[in-house]
Amino acid sequence: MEERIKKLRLLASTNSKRFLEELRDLIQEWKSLKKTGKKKFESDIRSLEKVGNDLFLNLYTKRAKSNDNVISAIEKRSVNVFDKGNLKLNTLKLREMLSLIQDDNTDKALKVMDSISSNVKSRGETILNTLLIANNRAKVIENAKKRGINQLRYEGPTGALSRDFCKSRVGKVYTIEEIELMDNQQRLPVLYFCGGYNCRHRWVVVIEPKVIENIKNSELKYSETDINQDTRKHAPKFGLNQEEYIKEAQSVVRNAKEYYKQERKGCMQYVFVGYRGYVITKDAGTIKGYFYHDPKYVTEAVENLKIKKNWGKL
Amino acid sequence: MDEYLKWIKEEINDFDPNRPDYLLGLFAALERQEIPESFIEDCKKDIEGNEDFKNPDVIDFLSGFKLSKLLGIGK
Repeated sequence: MEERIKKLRLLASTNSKRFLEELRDLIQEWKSLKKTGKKKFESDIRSLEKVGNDLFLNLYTKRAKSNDNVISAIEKRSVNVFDKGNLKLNTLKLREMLSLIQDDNTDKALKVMDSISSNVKSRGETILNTLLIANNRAKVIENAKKRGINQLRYEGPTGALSRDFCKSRVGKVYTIEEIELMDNQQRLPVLYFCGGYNCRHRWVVVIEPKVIENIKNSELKYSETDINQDTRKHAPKFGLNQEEYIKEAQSVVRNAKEYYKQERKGCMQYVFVGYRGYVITKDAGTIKGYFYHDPKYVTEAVENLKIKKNWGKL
Repeated sequence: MDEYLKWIKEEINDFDPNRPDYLLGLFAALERQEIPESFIEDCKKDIEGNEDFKNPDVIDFLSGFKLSKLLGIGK
């Protein structure tokens, strides 16, 4: 038994999952323990109240292989961040479990044990997920900094599950300095943790020049002189009515990852490539046309236009 | 491709010199396709009869593709 208690102590600081499993086994064997074994075990359970504070922080931080930047950012903002996440063994429950064990009520003790485990596990998983996502964000940010990029766009869902903090920022572009001044009210730095625990949002590097960013953020009105002709000639090719056609054109511009410039009568126009067509805009953000292509042909057309008409990168 | 030829024909017949973008895109999409002789002859007549296709700015914009060359637009 002494060997098993030693193992339990070791697991307490190295592997919480196995520790909890081992503890469960020992509780099951409680009735078969001799008096001295029972005493040692009781004192061990009591000592868990002390190790509970940092046990899971250590474990999950190791498992997440946290990025140094993430950890140092956490430390700068809040040393006790994981306490705030309430990642501790529940002391009252531990005492309740011990008293049940002493009463030889092993079944009930195991139930309490399971509730402690699942509580810790779900909190632990939250911390782990939060750290893993933060690590991914840290890679994006390190990469951006290496390339001298200072602007990031906030992206992700805007549904009911999202925090107001996130919803109000989705689609917007900020400098790294601006992000570092943001506060998500969770004492977690926004640059790495976005909205906070379990946040699904992300920072996307903005490599687009200002002109494209401005067009994407503009109202994107369809040119009044062109819309009627285009509704007649082009909207039917998409199978859309005028309203849907305009909306799809706007969506192509806003979501385009591929865009070019072309010169027309001494003025610069911008081409935004979508899945089944491309949109041409003026630099102020007025849509000049949305033209249908079969998805296979739009790729070919764009490739040829890049070569033959010098559709240039921006 | 037949669909594309139909659209090119429509675009040429309904050509707006201020908006040659789609015609340019159609030319670019068919750069590697075999174009039927009858289609070329048919469209050439429409182009020859349309003053807008003699506009140097339009010629400059639409030139550079196999189809523009076959149709006699630019070099």
